Amino acid sequence: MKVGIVVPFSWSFWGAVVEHAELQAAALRRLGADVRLLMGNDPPGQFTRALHPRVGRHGTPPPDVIPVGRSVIVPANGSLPNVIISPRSILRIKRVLAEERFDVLHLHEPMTPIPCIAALALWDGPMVGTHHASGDLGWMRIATPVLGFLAERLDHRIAVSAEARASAQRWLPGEYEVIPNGVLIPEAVDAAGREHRFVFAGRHEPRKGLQVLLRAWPEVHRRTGARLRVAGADPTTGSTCSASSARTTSRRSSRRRRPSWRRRSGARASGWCSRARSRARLRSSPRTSPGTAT
Amino acid sequence: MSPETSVAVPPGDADALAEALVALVADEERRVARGAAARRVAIERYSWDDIARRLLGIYERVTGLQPASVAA
Repeated sequence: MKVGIVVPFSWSFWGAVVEHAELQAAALRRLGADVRLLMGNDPPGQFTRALHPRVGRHGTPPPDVIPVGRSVIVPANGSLPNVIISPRSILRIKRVLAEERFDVLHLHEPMTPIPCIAALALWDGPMVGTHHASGDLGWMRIATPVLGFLAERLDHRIAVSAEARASAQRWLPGEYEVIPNGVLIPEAVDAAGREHRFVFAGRHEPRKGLQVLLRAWPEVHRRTGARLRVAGADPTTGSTCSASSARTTSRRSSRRRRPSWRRRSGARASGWCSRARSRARLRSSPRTSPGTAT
Repeated sequence: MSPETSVAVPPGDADALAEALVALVADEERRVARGAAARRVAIERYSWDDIARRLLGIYERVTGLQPASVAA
């Protein structure tokens, strides 16, 4: 079976959906499927530096990635994704679909321009769509009246969480199957010998609840002496893949009143985040939807 | 998330979060048990191989292609 995975973001800049699609492709290949990824690509150079203030993945995408256009940063839903809005990508998508002759297309964030919208409009084969975002989805307010009819072309709709399903259903009513994001699970993780440290992993925006943890932290530090490490993307920098560490301490006990941040990006951030989690004593994810402490 | 894998606190309640975190630091047995349970859940429900099998099932339904047509 030949599967085309369409991602409306750029291969050159790591983000949750790009990473999801790459891991999905690898897992499908292990089961024998022939998979291509259709996504944006921003080769390093002056033009890319002008459009993208942050450092991305350099080099040429692997052969299974078919570039369909350059991207620009578009603020959306609390993050700054790198979206492909070049009209020329419509022609590229059309050509790729004709040449590759896929059995099925899998569209990520199917209502995001332009590759996914183009695929919905131009292709008459079977299509599956996965909705990732949750929240207000302001873009859908504009897109649904104009392009909402294209969602009817999807043969099967997936949402990565109950929250993502509720958000999508608000604009595009219908049945959605919840299939979560997968996780890479280390072979073995030793529960003993952990550092006396907590780790927060998640984007730094209100829904993920970092502000709740930082309010709780002086008391936790006073009573435990533990350190806090914060890993995740900072939407204000447009970085959806960087990781930062914050060494916060109690205000009373430290000369340093502010956390110190170290930025990492790309694979380095991803590896650092995994190591931070596997060494920490506790992971805290105080989402402002039902909160959790471990 | 379940009581076996995590400790839940009311959304936005920093005091409750602090109490829960301090209690978990003090109770290694409970902490390790939840960590092990969370790892089991991750393997059972969130492994990419399982997700890919579910996706292939969906692809087969929407294309009408049989599993045998998947390249070996």
